[in-house]
Amino acid sequence: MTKIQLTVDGAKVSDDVEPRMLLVQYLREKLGKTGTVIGCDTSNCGACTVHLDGRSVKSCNVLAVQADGSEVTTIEGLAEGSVLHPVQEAFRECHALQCGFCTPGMIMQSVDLLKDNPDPSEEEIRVGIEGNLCRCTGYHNIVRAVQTAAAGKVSGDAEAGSPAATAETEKVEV
Amino acid sequence: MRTTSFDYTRATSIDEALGALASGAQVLAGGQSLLQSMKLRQASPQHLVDINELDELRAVDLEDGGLRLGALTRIAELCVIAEVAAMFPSLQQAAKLTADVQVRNRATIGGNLCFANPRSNMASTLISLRAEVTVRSDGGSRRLAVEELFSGYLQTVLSSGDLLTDVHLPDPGRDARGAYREISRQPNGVPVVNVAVAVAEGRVTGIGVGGLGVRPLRARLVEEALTHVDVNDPRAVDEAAALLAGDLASTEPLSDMHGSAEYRLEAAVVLLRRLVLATTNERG
Ligand SMILES: Cc1cc2nc3c(=O)[nH]c(=O)nc-3n(C[C@H](O)[C@H](O)[C@H](O)COP(=O)(O)OP(=O)(O)OC[C@H]3O[C@@H](n4cnc5c(N)ncnc54)[C@H](O)[C@@H]3O)c2cc1C
Ligand code: FES
Ligand code: FES
Repeated sequence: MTKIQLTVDGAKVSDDVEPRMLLVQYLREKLGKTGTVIGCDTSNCGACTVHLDGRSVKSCNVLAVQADGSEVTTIEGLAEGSVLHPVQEAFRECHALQCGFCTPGMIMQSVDLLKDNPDPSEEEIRVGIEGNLCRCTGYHNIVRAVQTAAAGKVSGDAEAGSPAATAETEKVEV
Repeated sequence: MRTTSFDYTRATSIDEALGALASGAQVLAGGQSLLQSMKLRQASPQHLVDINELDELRAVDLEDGGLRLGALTRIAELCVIAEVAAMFPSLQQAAKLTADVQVRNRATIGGNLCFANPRSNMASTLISLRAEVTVRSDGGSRRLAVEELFSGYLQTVLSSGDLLTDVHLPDPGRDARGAYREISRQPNGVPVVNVAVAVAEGRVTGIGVGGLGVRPLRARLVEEALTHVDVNDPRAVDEAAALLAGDLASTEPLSDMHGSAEYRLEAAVVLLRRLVLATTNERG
């Protein structure tokens, strides 16, 4: 067992973990942060994306012991109390999901992208999220959500957990 | 799948890392290939020595008109380091086409080389730039050309006590240009074949090819032929590029589910020809 101390979503945590425990396992199984999901377990799908010291990583391909002394932000640490992060809000407003499984990773990666490039072109958005797979949406509304968040056009009046607004949602043509 | 159990040491000095390696530990850098192999149980090391805390391996310095990159330089950093963009544009192109943002944020240049994937973006590009690496062990340090680092499929000439510490990019020469191209099933995946060409003063100075053989190659016969022909003559360039088949004779051809040996050779010749024409001609 190896002792680790880190900050997860603003809270200091410390634990004894087996070196082979993956960061995603630690988040889900030890801390109960099941908002971060496992899609592939092989570093391909991006569903498990979190921020490690401010940079996006696939948490299924990082050991928990490697996060010792670091700051980790998961999808559960983005909202400020009951106010959604603008990217979360944009995903909600643009209906950028169907089953929602890829959404935590998509949002974490989109936040990382907008930090580096606050005004990305459509192509830059598509390239920036190329490590995140979505099996449902065809990416159309996801790209729109990132554009909406970048343009600062989210209304931001919704509370976390309120039902998704559907009135302005376009139908995706497949 | 989960990995088998192992001991974990987070090295706080190069000497500590070398000590652990001498007693049989394996290096853990960005973990983007190693953890993957361990989860798939293709590798089950008993002891990992994590080198991520070693700031000495992170330095990026100008060196003899070229650049020295510490082994822990992340591929994401190669995409943004100004000196890389200015002096070695092909390396930046290759970095931007490596994996995706999340993987690039962890993956290191040293780990990419030591994993020895014949289809690696970094290997062929560094070969074209005639880069060298410094390797340290308990017994001292040595320097070798990147093209000499690979002994076979996913195999390097390094022994278990070795730590790759630096990548040295020599002076690219006057009016240096270079480019990297790949054929890939998906843009963020490891390519099927890739080619990198380095040019100075209108002449080709190095060609690296990945995915053609079981190890990345330097196309010496093609390089040599190109020194004698007019690089503005597409027919002459075609003939020189076709000599790639001869360069492949120095190793075993790669043939797998991603492409047959015949396909790979044809594709690499086409990429090579296009790159030479593009980098040696003014409009390129
Ligand atoms: C989804 C995905 C897509 C990818 N796409 C591409 C791509 O398009 N092109 C491409 O080239 N690669 C690609 N890769 C591979 C990726 O670039 C490599 O996994 C990464 O660069 C390896 O570096 P690392 O630091 O993570 O090494 P690790 O995984 O930590 O180590 C790899 C191997 O090298 C050894 N090692 C590491 N550092 C040293 C050192 N300094 N000295 C001695 N031995 C060392 C380790 O012991 C291990 O055997 C992809 C990987 C993933 C997961
Ligand atoms: S679960 Fe980590 S990338 Fe798919
Ligand atoms: S919404 Fe189902 S995978 Fe993206």
